[in-house]
Order: sequence, then structure tokens, then C-alpha cells
Amino acid sequence: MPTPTPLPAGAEAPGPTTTMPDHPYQRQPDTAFWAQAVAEPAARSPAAVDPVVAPDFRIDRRARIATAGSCFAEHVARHLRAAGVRPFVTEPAHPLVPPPLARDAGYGVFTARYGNVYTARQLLQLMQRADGEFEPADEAWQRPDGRWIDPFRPRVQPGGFLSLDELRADRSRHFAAVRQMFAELDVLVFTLGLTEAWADRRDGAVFPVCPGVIAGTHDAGRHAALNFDVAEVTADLEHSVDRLMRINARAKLVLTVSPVPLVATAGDRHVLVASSYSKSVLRVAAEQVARRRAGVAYFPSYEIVTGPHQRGAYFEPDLRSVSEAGVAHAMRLFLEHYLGLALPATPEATAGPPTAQPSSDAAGGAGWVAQRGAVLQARCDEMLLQRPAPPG
Amino acid sequence: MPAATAPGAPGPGGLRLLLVGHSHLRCIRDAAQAASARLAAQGLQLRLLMLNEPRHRAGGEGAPGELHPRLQAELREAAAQADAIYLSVGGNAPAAFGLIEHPLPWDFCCEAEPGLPLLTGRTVIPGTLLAAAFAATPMRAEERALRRSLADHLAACLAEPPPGQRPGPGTGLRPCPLAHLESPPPPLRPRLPREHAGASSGAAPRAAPPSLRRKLWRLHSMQVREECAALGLGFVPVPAASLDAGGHLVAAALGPDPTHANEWYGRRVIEQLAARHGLDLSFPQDGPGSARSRRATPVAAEAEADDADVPAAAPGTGASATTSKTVAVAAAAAETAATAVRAPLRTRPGRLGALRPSPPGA
Repeated sequence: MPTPTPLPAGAEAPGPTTTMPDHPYQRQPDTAFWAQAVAEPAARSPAAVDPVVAPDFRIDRRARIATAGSCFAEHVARHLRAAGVRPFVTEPAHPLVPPPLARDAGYGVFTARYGNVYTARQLLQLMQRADGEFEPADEAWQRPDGRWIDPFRPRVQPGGFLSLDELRADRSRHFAAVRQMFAELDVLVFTLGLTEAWADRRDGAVFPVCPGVIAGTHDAGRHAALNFDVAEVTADLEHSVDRLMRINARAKLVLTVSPVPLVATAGDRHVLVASSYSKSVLRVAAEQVARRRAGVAYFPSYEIVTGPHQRGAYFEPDLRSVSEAGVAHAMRLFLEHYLGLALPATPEATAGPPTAQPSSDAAGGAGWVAQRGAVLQARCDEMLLQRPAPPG
Repeated sequence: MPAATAPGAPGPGGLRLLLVGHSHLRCIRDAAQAASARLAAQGLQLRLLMLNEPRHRAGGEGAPGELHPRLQAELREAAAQADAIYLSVGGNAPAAFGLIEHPLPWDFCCEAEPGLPLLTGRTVIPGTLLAAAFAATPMRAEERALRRSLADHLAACLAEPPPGQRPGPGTGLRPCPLAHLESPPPPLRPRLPREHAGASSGAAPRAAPPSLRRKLWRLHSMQVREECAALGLGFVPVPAASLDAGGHLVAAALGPDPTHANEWYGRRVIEQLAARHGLDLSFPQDGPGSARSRRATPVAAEAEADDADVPAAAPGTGASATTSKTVAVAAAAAETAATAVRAPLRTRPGRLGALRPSPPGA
């Protein structure tokens, strides 16, 4: 579009019939227009919609890419591996532990074995705890069978810890791995998952899961339900970013928002409304931090998965779990824009309408089955809040 | 109840024990061969089927745990003549997993040994994870599969009338206890084979710390005990006399390699098994760790206390009446079946019910 020529001083503008209309949108690229950026590509293929205009920075494929966040974040490391990029892992399982068991125990799922980090407050407290600045009063929960659970990563140890000493020894190794991660990472991909959380009233320690769901005992006098607002999430994120930059000045951060809706709310709103609020807060907070802090980018995995171009096709029948096609679409764009890795759209990603079956699925392909299994294995502590269906 | 019907009680021909398993039976075989006359005089007949002999190698050519038809036939024939059957399947998994110091030294908290502290400066593998990793090793998986196959096959054999007999009032009167022997504990200071050179970091192979090896052995025993319980098998702990104060194999029992015990240990096991069936079969005390000279330790007491979950004849159920009977001993390995001096085939099919575990403390 030609740039309008400025009028000379004192000149009158010609009448409307003699000039082209001029307004700021005329200088906007196609990505700014719904028809060109969403509707038209979606008509060709939903997977053709690409809301990443330009990455804020590029990531070398040899960079140490750390991951943390909600269950959606688990897919990041998996897709990095699939693309030949080795994710940064500072807390690997001992070589004696076979990979399937290691994964079940949370090794290699994220950079360190912290399990799901759903909230910005959790991320901040993780850094504080690893540095010894914060020691929550609730150190461990004992199960009825005598085994011990770490309240801040309650699912990383199937079967629990056999003794408090063992839990402490493992936590000590874990904190060392967390410190190493923040000190040495080049990029942290952090997926914000929730605004709702449960905290210990005594010291504000935030748990990933409500006490009593996986282990521990819920005590209404001691445990408070929180629902962070934009200011709180933004502040927690900024504190985390500032802290990270003090430790590791070259670090960069990619913020994403999990497209997975809340499985349940502790508030009095309908879960759909509560979910909309939560994701809105996280989305705004991520935007604010990305704009205010250098080296922080926002990657729109939330929009890629939930946008109307998909007509809901990127959700599984439970309308909550993200399909492998949705994950693949988001990760393909991430790898393409940030790492310069051009990957073909998967058959699933181009399948489009919700009823269409991917070709490899129809053929019963083992690869697809394995992929599906990987999706199903993305563990979400939240799922334990699910109310069981009534009998019958 | 008539003495002849007590589970595992010696019959008129003496006490006939069938032992089926792998290399940990060798020390028992050696002890039995060396003391054959004494055992015969005491009325004890041991018959051993060594599964690691080429002719008995189980599962080697087929699926894990698959029993060769020849072995199945031999087990059927041998079970028909036994008053009790003891398995000793596998048992070397702890050594394979943790005898040699790993390049990344590690430790774990063992549920079966919670009192042992974690060693400092090592990677701590969470105990439940380590237990799962250990159970998932191919050696443990094969061990489980074979134990299950043997238990199932022997149970089926004991439920049948012996060849030539028909089910009827004369059959199924004497159930035949079926149990598994715990494998020997690790020595405090194992002699490492040269083959392990280079396995650890550094030039010379090093043994893993004694506490770690002991915990692995205890973990293995705990898992085997649980697996046996699920199969309806009893579990016989190692003789208390074979454990030193720290829970390792006493020096007198050290075998030719780091994982196997010697003839001295074999004699202790024979004594232990005989005692379980009411036979007082004390060998001359021949070492500082012998049962009578050794002061009981907490660990030994624990082992003895554990020695209670396999059905066996209690003294006074007819066993004493058989102690003076002379029964030949046959304890050869591959040649066992062919060379054993067999007692006359009796009508004594086992009953499946006899294979159920006895209540705790029985």
C-alpha cells in the first residue's frame, strides 16, 4: 500500500471524492485482519492458521531449553525431542531406572522433577525454596500406609517415599537440579495453567493440588482457596523473571497459556465461566510481562488451540483434553518460528473437521497409537479433582 | 489326624524332599553328597533337579518360563514321590544388579530394611522406583515366569494320581507342601571376578558398599516372598546361622564366587529343612558360624522369626517315628533322576489345597 504524501502547510485537503481513504488499518499487514489471517487460511486447512507474526527472539537448536508449567507444558519437551532438539534436563533418572518407569516418576518430563507448576506463584516459590529462602511449614504428608508424599510435587513418586529421610534426600537433589536449571538455561518455556490454587494460611505456601486430593488432609482452617487476579499473576511472574535474570542474565523466557480448561473450580461460578476468567487473567498477565520485560516473549499456543478456526476440533471428546493434532500444530509453529525448524503439518493437523479420522488412525498405525499414548500420558494433577460419574 | 496325613510329614520310607532350582542348590547337593551315609541313616532322602543343567534348562528355547516336556515329565515323576517340594529359582539378580559399584554410585531406602541409613555422596534412587526397576529387569522377569510355571506345573502334578493309579479313596490323603528357598545373603567382602574389570569407574572393579548389597538382597527376598505368596508357595528364609551380626553371609559359608554359598551353608539348609519336618539332623559343628556356636543376633533372630510361613510337619506328627528309618540319599545333579535310589512309588497325590499358604505363624 502506497504511503500517503503529507500535505504542504496551509494547503486544504481535497474533497473526499478526489483522494484515497486514509486510516491506520491501511498500513496493517494481513496478519492484522481476520479475513486474511484466520478465515481464509482456515478455509484451506485449520492447520494453516499461523498467529505468530514474528518471534521476539530466535533460539539456537543447541540451546538449553528448559520447560515448566501445567500439563500442556509436558508436550513441549516431547516435541522438542521428536524434532531432534534435546531438551535441557538437570534431574535425570539414574541409568538403572528404565525409561518408562523414569517417565512415570516424572524424570525428563520437565527439566527437573518438579511435576506440574500451574501458577506463577508456584514458580516463584519453587525458586525461593530451591535457594533455601522459603521453607514451607508443611514439609511432607504421610499416607495411611506410612509412606511420605512431597506436598509440592505430590505425583512425582508413584508409591510415595518410604521414609522422611528418603524424601528429604530426594528433595535436596531436586533443589540442586532446580538451581542448576535456572543458572544454566538459555530459554525457559513456561506454560501458565491456573489462577486458582490452594495455599497454607500459615505461610502462603501454594500447593499444586488441593490437600486431601492426592494425599494430605484438607483442613479448612489451615488451607485457603486462592484465585489470583491479573495484578497478582503479573507481579509473581515479574518477580520470577527478575530473579531469573539476576541469576542468569542471558536467560530468555517464552510464556504460553495452557488451552486446557479448568477441570473444576473451587469458587461459586460455573466452571465454564471460572475457566474463562482464569485463562483471561493468565493471558493478560503474560501479555503484560512480555511487553514490560526484555527477553520475555508470548507464544500463542492458547489461541492456536482454542481459536474458532478449529471449531473445537483440537479438543478431545471430553472438550478439555487437547488432541495430538492441536499440540502438534502449536509445537510446529513454535519450532518453525523460534528454532527455524520447518516441519510438515501432520496428517492429523490437516484433518480439519472434528469427525474426520486421521489416515494413520484408520490404518491402525503403530506410530499413531504411540503418539496417542504419549498424549494420554500427559499427566495432569488437576484430573484428580474430577468427580466420578454416578453409578450406572 | 493320622500322622501319615500331616502335610510334609515323613512317610514310612523316611522324609523325601524334592528340591528344584538353579545354582544355589549346588551347595546343598555338595553337602548331601558328602554326607550321604549320614543322611541315609537319619532317614532323609534329597532329590535335586538342577534346572541350569543343559538337559533341564527351562525356558531356554521357548517363551519365558516354558518348561521342556522332558522336564515336565521328570517333575511329575519326582513330585509323586516327594513329601515336600522346595524351589530355589534364580536368586542372582541382586548381584547382577548391584554387586559391582556403578559408575554413578547410588543408594536407596529399602522397605524391607528401613533401618539402614542412606549413604552420603550418592545418588538416592527412591525406594519404590528402585524396587520397580529391579523387578523389571529381564533376570527378575525370567525368574518370575519360571517360578510361576514350576508352581503351576507342580500343583497340577500333585493334583493328579500317580501314574498307574486312579483317583479314589486311597489318593490325595497327604498334601505335599511346596515352598521356595531364600537365596543366600551377600558376603561382607566379596571376591570379585576378573570379568568385572572396568565395570566401575576407575581401572579396578569395586564392590558396591555392603549395606547396599544387603538391601538389594533383602529387596529381592521381599519381592520373591510376595510373588510366592501370590502363587500359594511358602517361603523359607536362609538359616539364621548363615547370617553374621551385620546380616551378611558368615565367612564359614563363603562359596567360590561372590554370589554362591558353600557346602557348609548347604549343610545348614539341610538341617533347617529336616527340622521343618521334624527331623533332628544336626551335622557336627564345623565352623565359627555354626548354629550352636554362633551367638544369636537381632538379624538372625529376625530370620528365624520369619521362618514360619511354609506348611511343614510339626514335631510329634509322626516325623519322629521315621527318624531311624534308612533311606537312600540321591543328590546328584544332572544324573539325579537317573541315579536316585527311589523309594517305592506310593499312593500319595498332593491336593491343590495343600499348596495354599498356611496362616501366619503356622
